[in-house]
Amino acid sequence: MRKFWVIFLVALILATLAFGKIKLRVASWAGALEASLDEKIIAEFMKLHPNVEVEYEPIPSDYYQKILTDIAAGTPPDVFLLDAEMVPRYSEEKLLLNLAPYLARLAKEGVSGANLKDYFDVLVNIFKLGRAVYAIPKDTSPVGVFYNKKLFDKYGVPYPSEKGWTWSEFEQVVAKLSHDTNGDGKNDVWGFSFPGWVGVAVPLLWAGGGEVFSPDFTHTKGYLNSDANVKTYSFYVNLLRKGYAPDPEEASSLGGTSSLFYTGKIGMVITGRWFWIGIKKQIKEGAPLDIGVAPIPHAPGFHNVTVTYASGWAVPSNVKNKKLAVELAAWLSSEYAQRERCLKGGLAISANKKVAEEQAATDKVDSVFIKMLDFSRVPIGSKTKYYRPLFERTWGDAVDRILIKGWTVKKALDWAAQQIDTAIENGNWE
Amino acid sequence: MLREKEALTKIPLKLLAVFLLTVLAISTLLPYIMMVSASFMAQFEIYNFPPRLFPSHPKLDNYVEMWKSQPWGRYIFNTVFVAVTVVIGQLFVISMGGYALSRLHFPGRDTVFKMFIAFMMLPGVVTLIPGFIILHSLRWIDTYMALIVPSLGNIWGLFLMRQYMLSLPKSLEDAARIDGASEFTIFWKIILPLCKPVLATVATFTFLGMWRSFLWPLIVTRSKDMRMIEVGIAMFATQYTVDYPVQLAAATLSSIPLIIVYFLAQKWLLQGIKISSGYER
Repeated sequence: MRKFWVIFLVALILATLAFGKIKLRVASWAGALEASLDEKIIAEFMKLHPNVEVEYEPIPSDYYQKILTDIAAGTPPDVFLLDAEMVPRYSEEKLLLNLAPYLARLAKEGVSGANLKDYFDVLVNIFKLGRAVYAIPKDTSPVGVFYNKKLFDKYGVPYPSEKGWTWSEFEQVVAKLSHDTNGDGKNDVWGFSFPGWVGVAVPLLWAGGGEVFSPDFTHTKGYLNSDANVKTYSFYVNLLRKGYAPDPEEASSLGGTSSLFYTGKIGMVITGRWFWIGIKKQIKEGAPLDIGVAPIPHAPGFHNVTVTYASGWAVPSNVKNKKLAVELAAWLSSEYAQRERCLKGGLAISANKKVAEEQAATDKVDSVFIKMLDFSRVPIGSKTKYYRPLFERTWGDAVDRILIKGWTVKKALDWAAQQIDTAIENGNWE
Repeated sequence: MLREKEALTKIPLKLLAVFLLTVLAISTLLPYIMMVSASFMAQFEIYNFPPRLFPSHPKLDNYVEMWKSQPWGRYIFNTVFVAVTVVIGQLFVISMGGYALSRLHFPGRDTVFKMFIAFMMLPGVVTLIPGFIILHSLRWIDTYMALIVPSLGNIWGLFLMRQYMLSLPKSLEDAARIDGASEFTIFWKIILPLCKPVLATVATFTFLGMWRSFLWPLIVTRSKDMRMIEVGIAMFATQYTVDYPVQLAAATLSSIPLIIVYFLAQKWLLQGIKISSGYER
């Protein structure tokens, strides 16, 4: 009899160990601060689901290499963070679960974060391909113009309007801000930083009435090298050549754009909301900065437009507990998670409309970014696999040709369109 | 007279050598000094141009923030434990391998050696996924076994060891064999002590390699408890922002054990570097 009880007890322990809790894994590229917030959000999920144990894996570098290794080995994380630009390729390779049917069911059950109506439409659209939804938006960062009010005050330049401004207004401001303070005949305080990075260049082209891809994303000829785009980018290149922005190589030798902005050498930087995280820390540590934000300038006769970048929680198609994994993904974007990450942590703009309203009331800079969501477009990379890395890389090469080899904008954009289209036709888009 | 002339021409040469070495030493040390200095600065101070060599108001906050944000004690323990275990294990494995491939005669010996050399040509990334799958099937992911066992083999070390052992005269072991020594005794008591310089070389580079390893520990670990220092340092850089002062504070911290190791094992390290560069044999 005693023997029986011993065996029974051992079997019970083994069974508890084996089947005790459902284990789920979450992977993200979070840094130290974001990781601590994610851990708190996950701990709350485990409180609500005592039968579930969630392992959190922050992967600070080589993120997609690790994720793909995990997926290839058949041990994918149950939920992972996905850049909008990775959606087309991952969904085409059938690596992602279509969350739509699960979310519809979970929303009916009242699961927090599962109702897509709670999120800004533009963010849901980023992760939508056809009828399928491949990720739940975590948060977002629109692209706008950061300006240093102290420099504007110093030179008596009026601040740009939050409602938007035109190219001519932008040119007047950068001209007034640029100064040669040491009398060597060259400006050493500049109005703005030249927008060479593809992530900000594309919305600037949109604001001039151009597009970069055909509507079906099969080619760029006639779009990327259109007259509108040549005119828009020439406008910014001319401002650079007039000395209103530091030459990118010169800026880099002086410590980079951020360094020049923080030290009052550049008046404006066109970039994403993520720039605000660093600035807030600088101000907290005593940096002499006073910041305002405006939408990117547009061509006369056009309206405000920008891009908003986002990442979202995705579920690999080969996970075991699909419904539970989607529930966890929804929780990671729930109102509770949005409050922790965006309101308390201040890491980005909340993807949840209600929380974003609260955020707008607490942070003046964020309130301008939140208004930008009304006219934000989805990133091109979320709709076509030809954007990353093909378009990004070719754009960079074209900008180098303009700035280093002295090509005209027209010649560089014609060349870029030709390169991209040929690569697509030949299947060399990797 | 001739000697005096020779001595006189040697002085400027010596001065030139000292000057060049001083420039080299400064250029090597300066980035390190700037790293340590920046770890005591506020972030905006780092961005000052021209850069400042020393902080205007040194602050320890970066170290406090760095220490509080992650389990550094655990990271340091993991790194030291893994690096030391791998060094010891690897020396044992490759010295025995080198002995077999150089002093023993068995069919296919040279073919085995050529196969090892061929494997040396494979880029590490090719074996990443198969390696991961093997470890996963052994249930070693997120354990010390995954961090240690795959690093125990080192073909470059094996190659170095074999070549060194080939250069030792055969008469050494013949004398021992006549005295009735076993194969293991010959290896352990006669050949291995003569290989100290090459052992030091391999130990040096393995230790440094393990201390700085990033991708493999990142791929095969999941929990924070199993992470190593380099992965911890990377946690201060996110997709769009890098917290430089805190990251530099972590880098400074991670360099301290290496400096201690350097001072303790200076003699061996220098000898090791000489051997690997072919300066001394």
